Amino acid sequence: MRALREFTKGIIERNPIFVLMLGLCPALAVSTSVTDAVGMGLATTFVLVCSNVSISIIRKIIPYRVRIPCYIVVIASFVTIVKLALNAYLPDLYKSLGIFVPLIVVNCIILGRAEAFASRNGVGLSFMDGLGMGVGFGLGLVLMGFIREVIGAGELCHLRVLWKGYEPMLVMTQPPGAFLVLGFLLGLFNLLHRNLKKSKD
Amino acid sequence: MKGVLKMVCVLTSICVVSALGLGYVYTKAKPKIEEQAEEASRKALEQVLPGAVKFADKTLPSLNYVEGYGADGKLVGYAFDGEAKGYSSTIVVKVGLSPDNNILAIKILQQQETPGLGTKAVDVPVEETLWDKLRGRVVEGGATESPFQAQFRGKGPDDLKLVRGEWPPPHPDHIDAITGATITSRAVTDAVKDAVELFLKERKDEGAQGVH
Amino acid sequence: MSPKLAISISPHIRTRETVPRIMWTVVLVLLPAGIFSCLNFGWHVLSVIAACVITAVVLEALIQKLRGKEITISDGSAVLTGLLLAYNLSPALPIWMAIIGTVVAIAIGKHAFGGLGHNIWNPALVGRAFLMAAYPGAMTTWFPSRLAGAVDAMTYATPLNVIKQSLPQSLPSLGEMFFGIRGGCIGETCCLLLLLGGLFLLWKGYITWHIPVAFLGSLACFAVIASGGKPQAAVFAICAGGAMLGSIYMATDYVTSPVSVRGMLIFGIGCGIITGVIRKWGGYPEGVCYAILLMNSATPLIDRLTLPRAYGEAKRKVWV
Repeated sequence: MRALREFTKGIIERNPIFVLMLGLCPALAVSTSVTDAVGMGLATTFVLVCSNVSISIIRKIIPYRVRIPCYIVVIASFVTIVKLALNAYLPDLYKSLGIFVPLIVVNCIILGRAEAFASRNGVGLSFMDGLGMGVGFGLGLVLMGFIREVIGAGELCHLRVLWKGYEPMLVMTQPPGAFLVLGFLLGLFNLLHRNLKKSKD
Repeated sequence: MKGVLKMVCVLTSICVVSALGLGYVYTKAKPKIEEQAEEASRKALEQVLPGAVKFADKTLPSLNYVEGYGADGKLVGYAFDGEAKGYSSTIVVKVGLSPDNNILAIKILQQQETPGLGTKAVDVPVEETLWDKLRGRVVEGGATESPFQAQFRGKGPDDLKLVRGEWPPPHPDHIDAITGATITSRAVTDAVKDAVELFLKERKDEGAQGVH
Repeated sequence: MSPKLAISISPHIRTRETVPRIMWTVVLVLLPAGIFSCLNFGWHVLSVIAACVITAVVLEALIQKLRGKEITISDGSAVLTGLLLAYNLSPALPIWMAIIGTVVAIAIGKHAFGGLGHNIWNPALVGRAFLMAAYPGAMTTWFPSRLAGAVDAMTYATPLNVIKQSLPQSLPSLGEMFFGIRGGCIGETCCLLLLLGGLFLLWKGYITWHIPVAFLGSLACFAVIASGGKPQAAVFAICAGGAMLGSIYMATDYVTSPVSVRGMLIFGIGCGIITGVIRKWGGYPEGVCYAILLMNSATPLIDRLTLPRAYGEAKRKVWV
């Protein structure tokens, strides 16, 4: 039961992007299309789950004072694996994600979960936590990617979805559009949380 | 002292383990990555030299180029790369030139231009809609290259230059700029023009030196 | 609008100059330039202006109702925002794009920050900057000036475009530019009418000379230096783009410009130089909009630097 809760909390209640406000850099940069968002979400989830599990396994032997270098080595290894795998098997996705694959190393969510959760909990719970946070991050990316791609290009997964002759609102695929969409979604999540709290009281 | 020793040991062993793991993954992935890169470059060559199946690498003093031969052994044309500074990146273009010095096709290999504006140089207009795809309907006759790149087909080297908003262009070799992305359009055109001019000049020098 | 009992810190000055009075005066002063634009570019201009103004007023009322605030559309500030935005758009812009721009100006530029008096940037310019980023193609498609008699041209460029892209088109003469017989944004072309309106506002004391003069002066100096010392470059820089409209009617916005004289001068000079830099080296032909927005961002800092000290107060450390 607890395991399920650790999984679901990452999706809405403590969504990494919209509530914890972590990993905003990839959220702004890689959400230009749903395809990229899904790819980035999956890559990050893979790294997050693997690093959470490994760190949870070795948490008892890591000396407190060198814990951060240890976490980073573990995380960087998994990121490099993801990078090599994408380059070898999905070159198109690898090309469009570009610099943001290696940058998963410095994604705050991963180090944050290692420090805050995996270093204090068992392997099973850490796995569920990593999975939940990864899925929450991925869903956030997909939501932003959906809004930005539909409005900014009239397309979804690089296929046309709006009527012929739709004039794309180009700003949405550019950085200012990312900030606007993120701002609106943050506002929406705050509203949601306020109403949830009210109904609980 | 014991604490320090433990820290060193633990960190070192973690590094060793991850290094071994990465080494293993790398040996597995490397051939695949090289294969992908080779296929990508071959695909680009086939696109700019339509009909060519055999390629031979050649060198000139300051330019490497590829001669492409068709299935019947006839020379299809030459392919070489050109580059120029665009709006926000260096644009690398592969140019295919026929033996009578007309452009067969070009392909932009590398660019990081503004999405939606500069990237129109490479964006292939999407005809197929998601609804077609879901219903399994196949849309025929969609474009396979961006309208901007398609303009270069058949252009000669004499007066290759960019014009803006003049239709029809005053000279058959002129290229019409993308609306809102003049700098990118100019960069692509310059890259092609400079590469073609360099190629023709160096081949001429080569020919002059060669034994007839 | 005005409460029965006003509680505020002294000194109290009695004046008839309320916010609505000033706003409506500015609107009136701006109208001739709009009428001129209808003659110059055709009647589509009128529908763009109407769309912007109506959207601005309706949306302002709607948002104020949603936020549970007093509805203040009669104070003219929404009308002015809509009008100024329309004046900053291309005359050929489709109506629905003008509406989207107005929605961004009022909802994001103004009310997301808390409404009139709390916005960081000039709302009309936020709307224009958004449209420039969203629909760059439509925003840079121009109508030729009808008064110049060039109706047949399919594509038409503003004087600044001609310079930026070294197009093979002839430039209008300096005189033509001063009277507004040229292509450009809806409200920016007729320098004469804009100047007369500005002088009227100055005479009424609604604006002071500092920002417009510093803005146009520094822009003119920059243009002369950049052109290698040609005096006519100064006139061209002031008349060819939106500098006149921007410096008199938008850089002087009370909310988003500094309060002290020194602050206003710094603000105006900053606007002028940034405009010149964007025109000379930037990717866009015109830079007035971005120059004002950038200096708007710097306004709190300028205020902090230039606020006069109270008598006896120790010298403050500005950089905390």
